[in-house]
Amino acid sequence: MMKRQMGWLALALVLAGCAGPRGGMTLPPPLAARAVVLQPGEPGYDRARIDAAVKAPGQGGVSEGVVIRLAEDLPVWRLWNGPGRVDARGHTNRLGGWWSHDAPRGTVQAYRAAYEICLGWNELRWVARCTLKAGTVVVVGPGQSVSPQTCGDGSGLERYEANARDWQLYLDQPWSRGSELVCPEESADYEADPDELSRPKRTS
Amino acid sequence: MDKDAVHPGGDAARPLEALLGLLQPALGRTFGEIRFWGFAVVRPNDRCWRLESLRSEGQILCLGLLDAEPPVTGPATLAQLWIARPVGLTLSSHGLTFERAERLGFDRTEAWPDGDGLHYQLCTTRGTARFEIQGLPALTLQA
Repeated sequence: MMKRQMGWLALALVLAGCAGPRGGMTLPPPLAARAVVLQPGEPGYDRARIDAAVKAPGQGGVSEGVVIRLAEDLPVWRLWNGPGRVDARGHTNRLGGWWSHDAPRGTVQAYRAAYEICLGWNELRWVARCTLKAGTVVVVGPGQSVSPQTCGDGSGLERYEANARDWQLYLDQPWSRGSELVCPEESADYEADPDELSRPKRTS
Repeated sequence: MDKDAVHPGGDAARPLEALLGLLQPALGRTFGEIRFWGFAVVRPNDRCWRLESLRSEGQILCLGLLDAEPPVTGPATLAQLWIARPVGLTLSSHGLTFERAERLGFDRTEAWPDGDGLHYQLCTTRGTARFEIQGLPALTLQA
């Protein structure tokens, strides 16, 4: 009898180990084909910083997160202010924690809404395409909503709804990831046409 | 509330010299979120800041924050986050908060509480705004 109970327990543990991402989340096809889902306690899981990526409604980040390890290289994109916008301390925002695995397309307003990016956080003028190398551990998930207060918009108009369709990647402290994130020289980036981000802005 | 949290600030305003001592353990820690009440001063966890220095000027506490990414040009320099008359420090494994302050500033953003105690005003490059405090701490630095 005891032996049979142990057998069921073992089966339950195996099934639990085979379960998909938390909360029944299904990875988007481009990620599912290229990544392995990590569970808490597995090597690399803590380094992904899922606690930093997943935020409450209205706060940005992602609403739910899955930690994945890439099984092969993955191209990722990030919009940034451009090389002409260097802050007082000599920084641009070309590198940052938040990336997309889909190439940017459509208008800048649609992109801002899809990825819940407040006007004050990023001008979304230039496009960088980098590569996350196989073996890299990141958090992925659907974007969380952002409230007018989080954006600092007193009119109450600047708000972004949660978006289950366009998933985001969170790479904690990308500048310290060594060879995991490979970016070309800035000269490979392009200033995007705000009406269609997939193409460069026309020079007049 | 974080079970590891300590509340060395208590409810009463402390001399800033004492606060400087209480904040020493936070030196070297990194933070991805900077909030003035509910306002996210920077996109949460897009950049990362390391607490490098602490000093006081009169009733103003100044936290020197270093962008964790090396600068594109020139030597690394500190960004100054200042807090006028900070009260109610909480240090935890997640970060630090001050419950109240007379005024706060970082880069070109400033915030201060309204006289009614229920709202705060915000001044950014986009203009001014007014929001409910909703029980949130005046300053949140979170990992």
